[in-house]
Amino acid sequence: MDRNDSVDRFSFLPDALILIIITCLPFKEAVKTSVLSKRWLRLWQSTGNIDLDENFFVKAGSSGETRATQRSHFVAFLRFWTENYTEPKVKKYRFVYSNSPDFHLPAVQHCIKFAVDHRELTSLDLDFSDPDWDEEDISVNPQTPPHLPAITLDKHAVLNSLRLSACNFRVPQSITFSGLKNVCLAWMKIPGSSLYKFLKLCPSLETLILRRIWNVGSFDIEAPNLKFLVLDKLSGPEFISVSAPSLSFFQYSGLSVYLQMEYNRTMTEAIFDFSLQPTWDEEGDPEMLYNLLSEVWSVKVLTVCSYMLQVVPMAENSLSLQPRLENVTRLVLKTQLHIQEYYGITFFLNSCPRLEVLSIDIGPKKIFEDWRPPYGMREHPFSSNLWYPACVESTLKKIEVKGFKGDDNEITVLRYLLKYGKVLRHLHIGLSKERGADGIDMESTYRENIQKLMDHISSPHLQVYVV
Amino acid sequence: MAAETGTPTTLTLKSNDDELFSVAESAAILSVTIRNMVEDGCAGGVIPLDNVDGKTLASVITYMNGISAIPADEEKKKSYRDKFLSDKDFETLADMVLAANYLNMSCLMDAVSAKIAQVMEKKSVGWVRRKFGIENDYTPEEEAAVKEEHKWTFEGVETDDDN
Repeated sequence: MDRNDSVDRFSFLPDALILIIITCLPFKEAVKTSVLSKRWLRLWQSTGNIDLDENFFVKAGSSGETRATQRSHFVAFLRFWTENYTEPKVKKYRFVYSNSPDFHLPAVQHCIKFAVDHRELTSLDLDFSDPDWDEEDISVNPQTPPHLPAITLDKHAVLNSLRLSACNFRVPQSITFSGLKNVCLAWMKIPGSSLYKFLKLCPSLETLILRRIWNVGSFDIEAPNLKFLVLDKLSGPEFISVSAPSLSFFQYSGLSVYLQMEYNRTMTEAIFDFSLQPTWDEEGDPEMLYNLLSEVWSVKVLTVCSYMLQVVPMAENSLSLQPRLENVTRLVLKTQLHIQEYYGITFFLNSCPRLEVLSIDIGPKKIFEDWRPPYGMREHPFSSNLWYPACVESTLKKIEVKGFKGDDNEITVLRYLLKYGKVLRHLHIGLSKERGADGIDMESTYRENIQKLMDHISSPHLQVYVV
Repeated sequence: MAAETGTPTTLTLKSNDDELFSVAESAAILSVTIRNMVEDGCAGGVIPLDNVDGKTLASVITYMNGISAIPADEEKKKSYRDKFLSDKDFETLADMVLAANYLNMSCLMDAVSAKIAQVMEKKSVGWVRRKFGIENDYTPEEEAAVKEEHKWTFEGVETDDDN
């Protein structure tokens, strides 16, 4: 003991206070306290923070047979917990059980009933998705567990956080979730009209994540207090309108869609990823993307994908966005550094006159075959040296490259940036992990390729780091 | 009340080891126990707090003054609480739970409980018993049986030797 008078000071605390501490513990830690002493044997069973996660029992990478055994242990624990749980006031409830052939429906039904019956929940998280489902292939809707009871939340007025994945969610009708700030819905079918109605019931909503929702149709998001919005791989919508005047973070990934953002002056970061888009439409897509960028004009950090780099320059008068993105100080390019992306790269450099940090994440991308250079230019600026964006010469301080291999296209772009980057101070190069033919380690080759850049550095203060 | 007269009312609190502390009433009434005394008119002289020692009371008063100086901004209050608790050792936290309970200060109670839980996390059973002063009244066989029943909870736990 450090001090004699601290002996057993916790034995003076009534159970109710110890329970406050236990409720602050993650569920697994709370169960563990049963071994401390006889007094603690059953205290955890009243914790207000319940997390029934099959991943506590089922270990990824185990054989199918082992996993089945592990799942049966989990179901046995569910049964034990169900029989012993006494506390009527639970605050947080999480239940994770993935779809699989040995799906134990009665246990699941019971756990869902628990969630539906406990109206005082502030946090509810139910996840029946399967880790093996293919997130990228949005043409296939996974088979969600059949016969799942409906999640009805018509009495859960004090919810603060709601996460539902692969659930049979019934959008409530006649309740206002006045304290609900965080919502994440994933792996389910929800029509856009229901989504719209649901959001209307959540006037305080600050965070909304919609992931792999299908048959969603076109929809509107109207949320006056929304700050954080992620739309990830939805299928079905052709048109999404976002009216969220407090929005500060926006991420869209998935198919090309007509996205309309209401005039917004609070947004600080936007991420656009259309990499699932298999084709591009010369008629509509360039203008749509151009307009979308105009609508997020206030951002400080902007991430764009290869699709945008190839398609945006096709919009009319598009050497840059007008007006320019005056606030952007950090630009992230998800690119292959293919020649077809060069015009887009200069478009964004031209559009960001105060750019300080340029991140280039290099990786294989979809390069469109039916593409032709915009504005009739034969030579792209990186090789012609005819003109260069102002930010490169005056404000660009740092370049971060990930996945560097040093092929000709990469060298062309980086030489250009180093030649005109007069105030550059840092160049970080992360070498690609990709192996060569027959699995040969290529790291030394990639590292040697960096030498091809060294004669082209203009800035006297540039420091080069290789990782 | 202080706000109306312009002269802040000061209360005198006395710890169980006879230390005296002056504190603005507006800060002290974060404690429901003290507020009830003030409302009942028992706060004229010295308020004795029989279950709190001077060292702990000094800490609690620092907290009262700090948190009541922050306007209604839950995030700022939270970051103040985090900072306030960040350098407290386990014994002090344990004393503060008892004090917060006695003084009926729910915001301090919640914050200290969360901090204690954070300290407990991933620690071995032996460590928690020593720190909490919990006497192990299981027989070795009983303890083994309880561990076996919930053996899934014992993955990734520090060994006893760490502390």
